Amino acid sequence: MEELIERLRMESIEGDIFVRRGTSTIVTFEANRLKSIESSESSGIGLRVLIDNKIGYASQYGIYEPDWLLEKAKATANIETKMQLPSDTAIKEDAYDSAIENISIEDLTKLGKGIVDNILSSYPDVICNVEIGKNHGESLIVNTKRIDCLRKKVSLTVGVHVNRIKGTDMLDVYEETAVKRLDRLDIDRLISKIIYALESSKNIVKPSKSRLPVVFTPKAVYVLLLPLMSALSGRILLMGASPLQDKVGKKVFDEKFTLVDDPNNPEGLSMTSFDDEGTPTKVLPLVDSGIVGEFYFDLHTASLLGKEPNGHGFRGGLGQPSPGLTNIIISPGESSINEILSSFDEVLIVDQMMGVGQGNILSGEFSVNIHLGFLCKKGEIVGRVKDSMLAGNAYNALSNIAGLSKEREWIEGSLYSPYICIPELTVVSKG
Amino acid sequence: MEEIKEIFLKLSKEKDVRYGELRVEESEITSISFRGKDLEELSVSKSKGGNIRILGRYGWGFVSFNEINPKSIRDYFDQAYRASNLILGEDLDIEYSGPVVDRVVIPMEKDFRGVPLEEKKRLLSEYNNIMLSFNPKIQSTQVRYNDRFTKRYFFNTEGVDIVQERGDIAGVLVAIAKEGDLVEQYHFSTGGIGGFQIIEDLHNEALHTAEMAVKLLSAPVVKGGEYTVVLDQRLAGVFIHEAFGHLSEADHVYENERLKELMVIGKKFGPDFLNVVDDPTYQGLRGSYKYDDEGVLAGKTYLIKDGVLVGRLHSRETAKKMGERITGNARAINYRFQPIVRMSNTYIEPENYSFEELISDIKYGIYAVGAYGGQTSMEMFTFSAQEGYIIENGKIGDMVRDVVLTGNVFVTLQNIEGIGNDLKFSQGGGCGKGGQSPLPVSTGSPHIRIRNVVIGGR
Repeated sequence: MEELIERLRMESIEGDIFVRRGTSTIVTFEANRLKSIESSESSGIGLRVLIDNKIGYASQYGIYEPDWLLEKAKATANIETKMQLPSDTAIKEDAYDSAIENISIEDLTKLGKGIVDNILSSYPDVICNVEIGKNHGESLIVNTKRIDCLRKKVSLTVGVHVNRIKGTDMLDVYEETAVKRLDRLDIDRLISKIIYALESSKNIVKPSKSRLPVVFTPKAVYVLLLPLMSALSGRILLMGASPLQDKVGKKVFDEKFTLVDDPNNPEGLSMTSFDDEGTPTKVLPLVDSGIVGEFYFDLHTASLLGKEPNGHGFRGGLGQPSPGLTNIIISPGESSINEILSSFDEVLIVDQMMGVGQGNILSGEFSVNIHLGFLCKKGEIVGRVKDSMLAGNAYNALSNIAGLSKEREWIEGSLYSPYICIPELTVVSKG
Repeated sequence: MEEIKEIFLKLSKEKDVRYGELRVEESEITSISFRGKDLEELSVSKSKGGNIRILGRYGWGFVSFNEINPKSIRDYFDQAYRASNLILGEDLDIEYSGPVVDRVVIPMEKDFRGVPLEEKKRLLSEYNNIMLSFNPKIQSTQVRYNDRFTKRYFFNTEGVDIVQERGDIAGVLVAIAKEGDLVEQYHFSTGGIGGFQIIEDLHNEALHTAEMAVKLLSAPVVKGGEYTVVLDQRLAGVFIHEAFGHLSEADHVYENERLKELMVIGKKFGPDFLNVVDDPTYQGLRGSYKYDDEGVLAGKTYLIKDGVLVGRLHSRETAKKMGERITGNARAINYRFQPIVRMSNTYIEPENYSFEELISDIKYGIYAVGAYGGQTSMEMFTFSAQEGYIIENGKIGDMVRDVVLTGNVFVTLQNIEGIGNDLKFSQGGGCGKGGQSPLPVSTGSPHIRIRNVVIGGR
């Protein structure tokens, strides 16, 4: 790395180098039994150059050829920019957890077997697929202006998929958890959520009307969030395609709705003090009590918009930085989920959907199949709702929220959300 | 490569490995994209990596890596071998296909590796300018392009020694129109393995994309309900891929006794005139290949013939377990992943009806056109159109937007009322399964007509 930086300096070219290394171990249970044990090692490098205010980029996985990288990065320098590289920071972050570090393959398979056995003991007629992964990741960002930042991460992810078939009726329940400290892993809670879903699916029922209140579980909240996350991206703003572009400082959403991107949250898997360009991260109030707050940028996008960078340039794999979020946190409400459910004669609970993100995300319109949903009458779950479509507009929905629960859940280690209740949405059912 | 291969085979022999594979993959990618008037990305990348997969008595050990040299291969072999032995349980066996030595090079009419970056950029900027200058309501655009040349080496312990080279190309055009707070977008995607000429003449497509984005601004949202629908070829292709294709992937079925009963060969799934095929050997499509990622020679598989389930897609493992013919459908998006059962080019065979005949006696229905995407849970599926039109008294009428359709596999296929004579393949598709996305696949169909389809809406 030093050598490549030296060569950039010698040729008086500004630039940065991003190195990604990772190892992982994954044990997979298929149809209730251990099927495969998998491990992987990866390493790659990306070189970005700035020549006459133009960006060039080249990357390599599994090979390291400084000449090739430099030549190709120079040859691709075509993208006009006003960005300035950050400077003079050296940080080492290490989210090391010795308990995760010390987990052996045998421990992982034991954990998986425990989950399968536990579910089968209550529901012998289901099929369980379990995937448990132990991951280490390392990101290094170095530039010609003395940025030298290293981030090490470790995580344990558990995904459980349960399938039950009766006649031609299929039921699929999916739950996951992702933690960076082993003492945060709550397998009992994961299992109890699955058992609760199986328990609640004994009957198949239909809502009595096509417009009714709907509760989105934390897992289902993404369908409402995706349009906002997209609309608040600097990239969409730059395109002039953001429905929120003139709305900063204005109240667009329900005042109960507060959404923050928090890179400092210690529980979140995306905790970091610098982004993938070496810029210090900032806590971003995206929506504050219904008022539109800030957009998020990488360096290049911020420069084109004439905005201050806010430390949200992240990379997928070895791709170039683009505006990205870290830990997305939604503020809780004051009532418990049971209180919210009990306050309605009839309410639909949506937990899993199909077709999220398939339509026109920018407009906020959604129309999704209710893959796993329940009907709740006066606080009691009466059965599962299926073969139905739920439709609405995310902007409208979030501008009139009936309630948010005080309980919150982490989803994939990166979204911390309450249950969100919308007073009325449309459900179309078959026949 | 010879040395690496010899080490792998020698170690496999020493350890008396029942079945093992070594795969090495080299690729080079160019990506170019525009966003609005700005060039957003121009970059090149190169990668080299591999994996070793070993079948133990009860399960698979798998290791993927970037470092490839005689020493590292020994270490990775040990890791995979040890992992395969840690698995206990029921015996696992696979179908063997016998030794093959082959070199497969899919020719490109115009090799994209010979096209200068400058020329690629110029062509894409032409499409971008066509869209940007179409109408003041066009707020922004995206043009995305990438080409990937891949060389894959595959060796296994039964004497398979294959090198396959191919060049994949993919292009996407997106136009975004805005009026007041309303933002609509329309996209066109294409791709293939035949060379750069595939994306050389998309000027009309660019114009159409911009035109449709603007038109969507004044189209009302479709009213939810049950309709008789006619799907165009693109959407019908996505429909058959989601509604039935995934269910015919044997890895969903082979260890699920109840699903096996539902998916028993000989079961009637649709009308007599419904024929569905998966065919990796169909020449020149995005999902075409000669050998799959387990080194098995691929072939054409009828999934539904005359409305009856007649076959399914297999890997070595699922074919053995179910006692069915191996089809060569085990695929991995790259060396980081184990091969799993996937589709290739999946299509509905054409019948007799013209488009006019299909719509002629529909009193009130929806003509759904183009595809945003689709998803399945096996029993239920959704798929979304780019645009819809009201069909009234056999005539195509006003445009509607946000048309998302849903169905139940055991009901919807039976409800197909007519199949057109105009089979067409779409080349822009990528399929996702088990965390592996996007896998190049192609879908095809003539226009088809289905009754009682639920469309979501407010």
